[in-house]
This record gives sequence, C-alpha cells and structure tokens, in this order.
Amino acid sequence: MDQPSTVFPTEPHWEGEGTSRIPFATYTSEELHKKELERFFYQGHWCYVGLEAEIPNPGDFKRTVVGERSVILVRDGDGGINVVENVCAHRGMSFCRERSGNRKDFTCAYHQWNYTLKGDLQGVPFRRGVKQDGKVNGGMPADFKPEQHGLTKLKVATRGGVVFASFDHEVEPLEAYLGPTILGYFDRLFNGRKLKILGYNRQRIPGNWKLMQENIKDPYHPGLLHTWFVTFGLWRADNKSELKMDERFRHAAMISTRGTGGQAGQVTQVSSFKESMQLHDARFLDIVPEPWWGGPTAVMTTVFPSVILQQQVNSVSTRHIQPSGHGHFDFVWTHFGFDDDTPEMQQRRLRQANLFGPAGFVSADDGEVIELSQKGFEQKPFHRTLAELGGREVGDADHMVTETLIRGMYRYWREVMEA
Amino acid sequence: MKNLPDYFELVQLYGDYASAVDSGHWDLWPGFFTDKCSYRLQPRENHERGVPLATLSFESKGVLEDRV
Repeated sequence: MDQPSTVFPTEPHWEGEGTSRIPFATYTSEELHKKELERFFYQGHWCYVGLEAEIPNPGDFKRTVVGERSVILVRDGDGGINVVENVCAHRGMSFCRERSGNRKDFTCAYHQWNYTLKGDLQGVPFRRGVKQDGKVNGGMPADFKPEQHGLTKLKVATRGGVVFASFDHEVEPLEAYLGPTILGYFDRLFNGRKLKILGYNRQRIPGNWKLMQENIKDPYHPGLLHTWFVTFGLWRADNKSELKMDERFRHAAMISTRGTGGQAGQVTQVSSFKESMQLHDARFLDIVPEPWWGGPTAVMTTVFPSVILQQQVNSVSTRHIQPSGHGHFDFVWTHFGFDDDTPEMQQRRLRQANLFGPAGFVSADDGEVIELSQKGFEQKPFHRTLAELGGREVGDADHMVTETLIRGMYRYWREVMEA
Repeated sequence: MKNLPDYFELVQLYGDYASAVDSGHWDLWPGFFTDKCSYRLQPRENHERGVPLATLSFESKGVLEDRV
C-alpha cells in the first residue's frame, strides 16, 4: 500500500519545458523555499537593502534583511556604506535590535564583543584573562586573531542613492545584473537627485514571496481588480504601454502612459473617464507631469528577487520583499521624494501615496489576493496555475494583455533551480 | 465638571461615532466631520522618526466621502 500521494507531491511537476503552467507546489514547500533563498537571495544576486538617504550621517544605521538573514546597513566614519550581517562572531547572537539609529560602534549585549562600523572586531572582554592573586585566569588562546572574527561583510553596490548588497562577493556588477534595459528605467527614477524619505508602510502578507513579484509582472489584473484605476484612467488595458525584460527575463518593467486626450499639459480631467463617478475633492488626482518621466506616467519595475520600484504618477516608492518561510513575507514600502521638490510637490506625493498600499484606493489590496492565492495552492498542491494570456511564449510586448513577464520569471526560475 | 451638558454631548458624539463605524454603514462616517478637517492614521514608526507619511491621510470631508 505504498502508493505515492497524488495530492501532496514531493516535487513540483512542470508540464514540459514551458512556464505558462506553474505548479502550485512551487509555492508550498519549505524545502524548495530554502533552495530559493540560497540560489536567489544568497548567491549570484543583488538584493535591495535601502536608500542612502536613510543613513545620511556617519554612524547612521538601518536594520533590514537580505532574504531571511538580518543585516545592518550602516554609514561609517569615513562616509562609506557598509552592510554587515547581524550575527555576533562569538555566540551567534542577532545583536542589533533597533530598527534604526546612530552608533559609534556595535556591541553585542551578551558578552560585550565590540565591532567597528565596518564590521571588524575591535574589542573582546577578558581577551587576555583576568588577573587574580598574581595569576592570570582564562582569556582567549594566544593565537586568537580578532581580524579573523569580524562580522560577515556583504558586497555593496550603490547607484542613484539606492543600496544593494550581496553575500556573494563574486556577484557580477550591479549594472550588468540589471542589464541595459532595466538599468535605463532604474536611472530614470534614480537620476542622481538627492532623495528625501517621506516614510514607511509595512505589511505582513500570508503568501509566498514570489507572488509579489508576479503581481507586478501582471498587467492583466490592475484594470480588473483595481477598478478605481480604470475609472480615473490611471491604468487601462487600452493605455499605451510596453513590457520589457532583461535578457534573462528575471527583471521587468511595465511602462504605461495614461491617456491624455491629446493634452500635453496638466492632466486633471478626472471626471471625463466616467461621468457618474466624480471626486468630491479633486486634489487626490492633482497629477502634475514631471520632466524626468520622459513620457510614461507609470513605470513599475521588478528587480528580482527582492524589490519593486514604483512610479505611479507623482507617487514614488521602493517596495522591499522580505520572505519569512514559504508562506509569508513582509512587504516594506519606503515612500520618498526628491530634495528639490517644492512643498506642493511633496504634499502631492504624500497625497497620492494614499492611492496605493495597504489602505489604498485601489479596491482590494494585492496582499489580499496573494493571501487567497496561497490558500488555493495549499489545498491542492498537485495542481498548477494557468498564465497563458497572450500565449505561452516569453518576450517583450507593446501591450498589457499578456502574462509574458510571469512566464519569463519562471523561465529564469527553472534555469537557476534546475527544475 | 464645569460644563456638564457639553461633556455629555461629547460622550454622545463618541458613542454615535463608534456605533456608526461599527455598523459598517460607511456613508454615515463623513457626517461626523466638518468640511475642513484632517484625518490621519500614521504608523508609529513614521511619527517617531519625524517623517510625514500616513497610511491614511485625508485633508477634507470631500476626501472622506471619496474614500467611502
């Protein structure tokens, strides 16, 4: 009676070489999740850790994660940016508990081991023992070398005020990692202007982390789930749009231009899209085109595996995906503006930030659909999704009626996971 | 207690507000605000760090009506 389970397969079963039918088991296995952490978050990839504007002064730090490993992003006394793992070299304690702050050095509370802001070990209490009655008791062995016991240091790359880190010191340069197409959209948003932090929103979403990447690689849903977008023309299936990927299909940009009815100037004709629905306070859609947009009114960029870069009209943010087991992730939004914003533009960005996120105007939040998708996967992991809108192939597109970006991501996933 | 009637009116207002919100009849909600008002629900983290972002930030009764 050793029949294999048909409901709970041990491995995801892919139908052929394509990636349009994604096994539910891809989202439900703790073992597979650990393999993903190793291969996507800890090797060969750059992960988002924060913005330079979050740590403007020497000693400023921010605790964050790479995958599921706690790390500290910190500016040292020389102004350099370091990312070190939040695990003491002595007994492995995750020593930093504050979310952010300013320090001259790091000290583990357990035995007071002390590190520089670059992560080098500089102080070990009783290293040379304790003198008592003319005799030296204990101490570290004579061959103990502090320089061999610093914190784990990550490789760091910054561009346009954004900080990425990698545990893999052999990782390719960030620019090559993003590839020319995605780098172009990255530089469009982070074009060298100083950033100004406007604040954070945090969500814990009970679903697999990949679903968040997929959500922002899916231009099929916004006009259907987020009906408010359609009513006010922010995202419509007939908007002029493009979908672009890097050559390995892991990153993507969804580029959309809101219909302006031939108007080049300020776009505030909110009532023209649907007569029956008018805003009582039109300031929510007081959209002012900015020169750096260069045309598109929305560009949503997914940088695999860890971050989404959002520009939706005047609202800009990074959304950090922080996995926590196969079935949960934290989703941390950092809304920002630019140092040279007028007070009116800052107010506009803050106001439009209300359109998105956990309490946004966009009808059901994406977190809710992700939770319900995960529920579906868990109950019948032998089954698979059907991402075949626009065909079964992978390639750039000049419209939104396709799930090609999701198929692209899974082509890359299968390659790296050898699945 | 200097002004008992005002105090009772205030308690009544809070009671009515809670009851309206609990009832799920959201169209009642904006009625508790004046035309010029501010409604903000800000994460503690943002408040403590002195950054302005609020998860909900409404600047007029009109916006409250739009949110409903």
